Amino acid sequence: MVETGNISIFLALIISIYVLVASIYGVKTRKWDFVKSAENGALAVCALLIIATIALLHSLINLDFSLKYVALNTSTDLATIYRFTSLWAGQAGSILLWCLVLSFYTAIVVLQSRKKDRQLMPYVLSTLAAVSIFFIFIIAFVESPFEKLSFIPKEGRGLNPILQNAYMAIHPLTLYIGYVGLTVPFAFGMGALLSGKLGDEWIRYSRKWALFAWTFLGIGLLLGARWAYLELGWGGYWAWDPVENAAFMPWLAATAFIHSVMIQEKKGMLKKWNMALIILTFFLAIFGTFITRSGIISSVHSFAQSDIGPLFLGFIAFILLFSFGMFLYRINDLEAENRFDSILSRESAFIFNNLLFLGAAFAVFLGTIFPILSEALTGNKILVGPPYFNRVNVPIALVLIMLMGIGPLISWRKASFKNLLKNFLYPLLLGIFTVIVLLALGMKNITALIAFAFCAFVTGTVFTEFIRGTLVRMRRGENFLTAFMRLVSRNKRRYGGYIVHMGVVLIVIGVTASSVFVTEKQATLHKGESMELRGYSLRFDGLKQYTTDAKNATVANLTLFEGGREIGTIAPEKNIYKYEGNREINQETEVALRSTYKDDLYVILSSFNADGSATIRAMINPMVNWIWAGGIVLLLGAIVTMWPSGKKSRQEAFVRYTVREKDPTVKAQ
Amino acid sequence: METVIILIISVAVAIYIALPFFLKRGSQGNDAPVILEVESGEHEIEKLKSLDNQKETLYSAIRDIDFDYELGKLSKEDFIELKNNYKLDAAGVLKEIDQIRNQSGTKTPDYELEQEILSYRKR
Repeated sequence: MVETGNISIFLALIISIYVLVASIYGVKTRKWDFVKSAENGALAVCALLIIATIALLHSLINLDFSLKYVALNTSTDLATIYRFTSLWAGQAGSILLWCLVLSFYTAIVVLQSRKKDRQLMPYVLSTLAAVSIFFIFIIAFVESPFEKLSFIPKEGRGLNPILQNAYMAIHPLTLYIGYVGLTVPFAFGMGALLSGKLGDEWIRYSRKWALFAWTFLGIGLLLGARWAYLELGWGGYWAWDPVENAAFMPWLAATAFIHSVMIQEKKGMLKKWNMALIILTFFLAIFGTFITRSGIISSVHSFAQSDIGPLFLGFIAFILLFSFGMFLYRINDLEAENRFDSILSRESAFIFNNLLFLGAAFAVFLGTIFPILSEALTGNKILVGPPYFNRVNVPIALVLIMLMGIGPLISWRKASFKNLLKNFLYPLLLGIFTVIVLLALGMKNITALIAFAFCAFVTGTVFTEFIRGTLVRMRRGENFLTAFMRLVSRNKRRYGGYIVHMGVVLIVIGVTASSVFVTEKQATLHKGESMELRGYSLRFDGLKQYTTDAKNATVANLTLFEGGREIGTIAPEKNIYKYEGNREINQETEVALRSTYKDDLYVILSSFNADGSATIRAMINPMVNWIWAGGIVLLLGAIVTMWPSGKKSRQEAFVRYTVREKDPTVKAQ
Repeated sequence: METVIILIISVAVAIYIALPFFLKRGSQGNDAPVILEVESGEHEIEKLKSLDNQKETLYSAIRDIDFDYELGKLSKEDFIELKNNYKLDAAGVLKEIDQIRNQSGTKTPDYELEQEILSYRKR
């Protein structure tokens, strides 16, 4: 199957080039057969990449060590599920995954639009094909997953033990669905620029695709944080690592885009802004892929020696020059159709929100590339750590949370100050009440107080919106449940968005509590000795060792007490993996967790000694599980927002008819 | 055996890509807007699509204004002013659509629905 997979990649490259050329030729000359042929070509590319992926998976699962990729990423002791997920463990496989996901997206776009927007879609397809060509070129000529070794080793290097975790199994996949998904709204933007069809079509398509990609990118980020929390053993979940930032930057820009795009949809404004923003978002997605794949993070020198780095840099330069070149070419056609009705409006709040998101993205971008630039220019790598990122982004985040509460209370187009004050009242009271209670409980940290107060304010706003909206419908004769269900189903974007905001609130509460109020202690214990940590007591009952096929494990058995009452046992481990090879971790820490909604007791076996003593590090992370719960709520809200609408309702028909009919309150032109 | 598989795949893909050139030409993949069948030129099609999108935006705006007023986010004065403005804009767009439609004698898919509502309201 290896040859089949290899040839499929080359065929996919050739056909992608054909798709690019044929789609443009067809639309320019009005020879629609070429466009249809190009569309078929896009579907064929998808099929070919599926074949290539199946071929690689076959080799991985059957441990065909004649392939370099299989030898580097699997071993005979690797469980089948991780042989499967090693598809995206290495460079070549992950780029093949990129190509595959992009081909799926392209196929869906083709199938959804076969009879629509014939002037726009061929250019969209050509953009998708152009991006595909770059990535397929890499796996065809630069970093092939089917590269053979000159000999067949008896054993593979194996998968890094810290990657053998359920979260890491799916985290790359969700991230890629997000990263790659941002290509689609970008393609629609480029399609609009290339075709000159700068009306609303491209923005309608772009919004849905951007939301889908944004959701998966967000879930991918949270899964990565969860993995880091469970596997890396430092007690945290986010370190502003370049790889984390690589995914966070496009997520921030995409968040700005999915908000500002609503203004263009509703008012035909911010056309230039949205076009520039989607180009920037896509650039950040490719840039993120670049910094994780090119080796530039470890060193500028390893980047220069890598085959892939300079290619990526060239591709990024091409994207920026071409996209912004087209943007400037069409800039006069991107005039706004309407005016702002009022400074005090949701539109203004969204613009402010955009500026903040982009400010945060820029700050993260600067902090991420600074070490790279300093090494390139001075030869010394100057590291930028969490203090910089937190100092810049925490105030931005606090203002954004506040806007999350204000935005829904303001009407589109115009809000009266009097009504605004009236709508603010209950959420504001809830925020103030929260501060009073927390101060009374002894909380002194100003940042945490502000964060919790704003979260309470947003919660008040969201609940007020749901209650008021339900009451409005109940006045029409519906019972509570019907009114609530129809409120959400007929205003999915609005109320789905509110649910997403609640997810963000939960995440912010979890991040604030677990960052500001974490408690930590380390002690070396002999058998029978205990350590105390904020109401918990851990008694060390001794070390135990066991062996599996893969590892030698040392376990510290601890009995857990809370308030003097025994509540269970907890057993952190330290593992040494048996097989030699280029494993980066040979001593892996297995964290022991006791999780509740209130906090996590996080216990690590730091080291152990010949006399049977062990150094135990214990942390209490308050409310950290609210982060993961918030992610689930965010996902639910996104699903509601993206859920397809049914047929046009009679209500909408009546709205239309009201407008059509001569309305005595409207003076006809 | 693998060579044969590769050949079959290559030929199948080539045939699939070339298919549109050999199938009987149908609708030319006409850029038929979702709402109209128009025998007039492409310019009218594009214009109607644009007007239809504007119409949808304005209808959505009117719904938002009605809903925000019921939620108490808009004062009565602002509500009336905004609604009047958007209705006026919508009426202008509908007038343009009607003109183009009358020139080409076409119907929209919701035309029948609107006729049904009109007859219901006249009863």
